[in-house]
Amino acid sequence: MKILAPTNSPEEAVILEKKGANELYCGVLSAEWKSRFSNIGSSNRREFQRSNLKSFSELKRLVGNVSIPVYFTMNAFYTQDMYPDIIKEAETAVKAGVKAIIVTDINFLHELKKLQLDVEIHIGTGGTTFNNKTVSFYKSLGAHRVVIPRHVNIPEIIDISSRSDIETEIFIMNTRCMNVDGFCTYQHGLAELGIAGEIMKKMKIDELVGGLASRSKIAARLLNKSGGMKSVSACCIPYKVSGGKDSENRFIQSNFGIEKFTNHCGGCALYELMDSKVASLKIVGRQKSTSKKVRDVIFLKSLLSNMRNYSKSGFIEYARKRFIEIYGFNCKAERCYY
Amino acid sequence: MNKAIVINRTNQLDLIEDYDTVYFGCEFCERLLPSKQDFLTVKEFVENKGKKFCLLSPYVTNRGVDNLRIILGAIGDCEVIFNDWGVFWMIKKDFSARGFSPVIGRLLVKQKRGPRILDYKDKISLEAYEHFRRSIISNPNMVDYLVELGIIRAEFDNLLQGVDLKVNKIKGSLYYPYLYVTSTRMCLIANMGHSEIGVVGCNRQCRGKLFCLKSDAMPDILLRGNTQFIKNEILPKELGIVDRLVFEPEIPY
Repeated sequence: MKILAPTNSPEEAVILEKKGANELYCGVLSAEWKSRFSNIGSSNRREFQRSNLKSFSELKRLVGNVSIPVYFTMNAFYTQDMYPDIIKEAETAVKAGVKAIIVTDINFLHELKKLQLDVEIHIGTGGTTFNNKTVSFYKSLGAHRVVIPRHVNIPEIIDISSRSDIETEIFIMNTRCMNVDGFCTYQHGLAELGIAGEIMKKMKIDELVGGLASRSKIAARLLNKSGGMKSVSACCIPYKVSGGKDSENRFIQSNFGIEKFTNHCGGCALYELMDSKVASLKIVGRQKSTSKKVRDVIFLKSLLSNMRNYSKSGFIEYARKRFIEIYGFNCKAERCYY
Repeated sequence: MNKAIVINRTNQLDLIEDYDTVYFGCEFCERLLPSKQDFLTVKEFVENKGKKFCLLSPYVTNRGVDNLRIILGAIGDCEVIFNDWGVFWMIKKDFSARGFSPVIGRLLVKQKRGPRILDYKDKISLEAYEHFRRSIISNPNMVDYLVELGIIRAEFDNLLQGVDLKVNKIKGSLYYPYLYVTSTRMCLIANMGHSEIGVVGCNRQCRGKLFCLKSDAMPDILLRGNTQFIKNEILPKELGIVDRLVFEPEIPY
């Protein structure tokens, strides 16, 4: 299994390759695109400035800086007015040397097929591939790889990947969204609009939220109650829940808020996936700091290198020990991906 | 204008009298899909009344594909609203002679439903705001492609910010008064009492439960089972390609 790491700069890409990433993915959200469709109408489902490269010249430099494949995210759903621009962006990305484009929009996929670009097609999680019939459908449209959504458990992942005749990729670290990515229609990135937006663009929101939620549950709870993070995501809204028994309402309420935005980890699950046909492990978080991305790559690399040396319980113990060594805190402060 | 109604259970058959078309099934959870026998019973009842029967199907795992295969194998000659491209592919490849008419469901047309867009109307360009009134069906090339695939109809939600329904060559259905906003397999109802939520088994305990999520950030969110909804009772003035209004007597399962 390969390690697929996110990146948002040509310099960072070099570091991630050196540390053991086997593949990289990134996106561009240009000033021109934002001026027309805003950041919340992002071309690649990352609405925050920190997640993206600023230009295609940066992308070209990034691809030239590394010897591992770079995949380019064009994983939004596009409306008519966006088409001339996204076709041009796809052609520019291919000229820059990306090995694959990550796609979720059926029509865009159809248009790319007609263009016969020299590039692989990966179906992003927004393609909602929950079964092998969907894999076959995407294969018929020229897909080389499908990303299996977060909301598929380990036995289901093993089943889908074993019956798939194209590559499969799964999520392994960070941002385990509560809702199915391809079916969730809440806007993100609203925090970067308006007067406060310029400040928010410069803030490492994800680091702040993830770090706080992992290390200080009380502080996270206080911030959540204040409603201070509600423009970041609908999942951060401190809802008042009614309709059920008090205990049921409290349970629903407790599952919204920044406390749930920890950096989830799927390290221990690698043991069960050891002999599966899963081709690639995706680290989420293009917007995260380089040091977090580096730690994620090192952590996964050490688990992949050593998983055959242990029994299942021994591997879990090893994974937890490595987690503390690499991240500096107990993995129980975070949450399990699977 | 064709009048349709969504029902999810056989004991709702007394609601269909005033409607031309009856949608039966489930869009959001494979575990709530009615049994083969229920589908056969409802189809026969509806057609004996001279009404049209449409089968609603959800997004599915391989297990759900197997279950739907049994149901489709027993039923023929109806519209199938699919919310999973794998279900579409199964209809096209494995049931081509059974007279099914595939209809692209509201989970796949990719309308932008998040209600907070209303508060940001003045902060984004008119072009960007128009984008949030559209779907992938707004693109004539997409419609040509759907027609090429044999898809005859598209299902839409009635967005709070308005809906662009101007494309031609395909018919549209508009659901009211509930629009879905998001869905999950980490169902909070199935996970109730668990310290960590995940994809877990259930006993359909979501049936009969409805939660209201209130905040000052957006209209009330209605949570039923694994899916969140918003209510919008005002139909658009311009219905464009819509020739079927689909009434939801309750929040769908």
